[in-house]
Amino acid sequence: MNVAFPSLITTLVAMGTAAAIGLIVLLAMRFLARSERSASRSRLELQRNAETLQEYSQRLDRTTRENELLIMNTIDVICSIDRDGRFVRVSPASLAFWGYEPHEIEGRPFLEFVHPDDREKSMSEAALTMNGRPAIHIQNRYVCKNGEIKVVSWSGLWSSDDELMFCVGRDSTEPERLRERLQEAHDELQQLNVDLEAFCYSVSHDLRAPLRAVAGYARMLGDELGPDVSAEGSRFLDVIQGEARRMGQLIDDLLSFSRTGRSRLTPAPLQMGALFHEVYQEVAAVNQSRRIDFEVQEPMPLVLADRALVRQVAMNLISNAVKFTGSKSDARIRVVGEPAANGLAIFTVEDNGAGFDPSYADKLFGVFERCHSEAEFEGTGVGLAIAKKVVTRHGGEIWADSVPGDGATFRFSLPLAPVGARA
Amino acid sequence: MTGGRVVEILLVEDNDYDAEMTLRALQKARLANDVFRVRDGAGALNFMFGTGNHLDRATASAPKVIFLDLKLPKVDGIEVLRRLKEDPRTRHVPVVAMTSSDQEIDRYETYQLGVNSYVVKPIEFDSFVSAITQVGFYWLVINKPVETAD
Repeated sequence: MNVAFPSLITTLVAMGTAAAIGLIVLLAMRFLARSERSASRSRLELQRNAETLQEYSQRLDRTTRENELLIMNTIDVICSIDRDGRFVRVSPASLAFWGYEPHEIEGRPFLEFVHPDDREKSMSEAALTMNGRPAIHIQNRYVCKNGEIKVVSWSGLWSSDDELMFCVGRDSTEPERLRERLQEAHDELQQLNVDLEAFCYSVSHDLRAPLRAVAGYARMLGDELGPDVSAEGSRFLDVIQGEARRMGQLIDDLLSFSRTGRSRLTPAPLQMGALFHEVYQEVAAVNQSRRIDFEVQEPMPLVLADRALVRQVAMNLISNAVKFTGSKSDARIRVVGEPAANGLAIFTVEDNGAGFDPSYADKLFGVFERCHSEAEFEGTGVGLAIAKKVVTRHGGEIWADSVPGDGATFRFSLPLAPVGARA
Repeated sequence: MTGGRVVEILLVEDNDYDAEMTLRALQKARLANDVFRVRDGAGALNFMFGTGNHLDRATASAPKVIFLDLKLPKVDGIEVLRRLKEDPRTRHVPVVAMTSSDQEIDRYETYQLGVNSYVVKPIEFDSFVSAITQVGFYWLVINKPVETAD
């Protein structure tokens, strides 16, 4: 047992060793087989990668070629500038634009070509772009080889990988010239407006003062003469005063007409029904002896208009209607509003008053145009001219019709307020 | 020279006819006893500050009201108003701007400067007289002024 025991151990060890070796061999063979498979897979992948790379390379070539063609053919100015502010590459269009040969421009500081007055601004803009803030619509002037000055509008960005600033510029010489001309015309117009304002100021001031003296001294003369003045003399004094007053009214109306054309338009949603009622109340208050059947047909469309100005239109039309129905015992005024085509609303003010000769319908809206004598109906003939100016400035129209002796109908259009708007 | 004379209304008016009509209106209302008239802005400032030809005037006795035309020769009305309202000696004196024409810009500017009233002179004589009478009556009779400058 003692002898047999070690041999048993030996046998067991030998058997174990054989099994271990077998296992190792088996594992090694399996590993080799797997390596073989993976190697062939790697080969395949490598091949595939090479194909992809080639495809990329071809695509890159194509893109580069296309970009190159684009740069070569674009009419805009394209260039790259290094950190020292020197032109590195300049597109053919840029050369043609400035009139230089490549060797005259490449490697030169771009500032040399910038108009002296714009150099400082251009330098600081370039510095900002080089610090990473892309340039958008930076404008400066360049002096071409032939001395011509051209305005260029730039966009640019800095590429830190390339250490280059890439710039695209557009010739803005003509747009800039037009803009300047427009600005000049605008300034001129504004100056004219200021002059007109000053003129109106002095007209209203300087013309009113003598009129006040004419009216005042006629009256004081009447007071001085007292009961000694004859009936005829008294009538003469009344005429002087009345005419002075009328001229004062003319001056005021003319100024108001001139102001209507120049004042700023501030449109907002506007309730026309309420406006017509408000205006009628005001007119009725100074015509208390009159009995008038006044009606505003509600609801009225909401318009987008300047309240203060449109109020003048309503005031002129309503006071005209009240004035021209003066001789009627059954005076009637109707106001109607309805939406029409083209985003407009049409308002109608209709009366049964004296009316006018329809062949003068066009003349009605001119300044100082009157269809009736001063003795029949007083007025300066400016009210409808103001109304027309207001309506026209809103993009609307005003027109009138009448059957003489049987009333007049005035219609005007104003832009409708947007759907959902509220006054 | 105004010396020790008490002036209730200082009328600053370059137009002789306007001045005469204003005086007549004030006379009718029995408010014209102590009116002093100057023809331009410089005269108004001299009167109020006791300078120029008004060296003898005691600035302490200020008028109860100044009727100030806005369009004046030499120093215009707005400038007169500015100088009066800037100075602590004259700031308390009521100033009524009297103008021939109503200008939004004038109205805005005068009120900004502290005008006490803004009146457009009517063309019609009755309205003119009525405006002057009402303004005069209000500032001379109804309104209570500061007696002396601070």
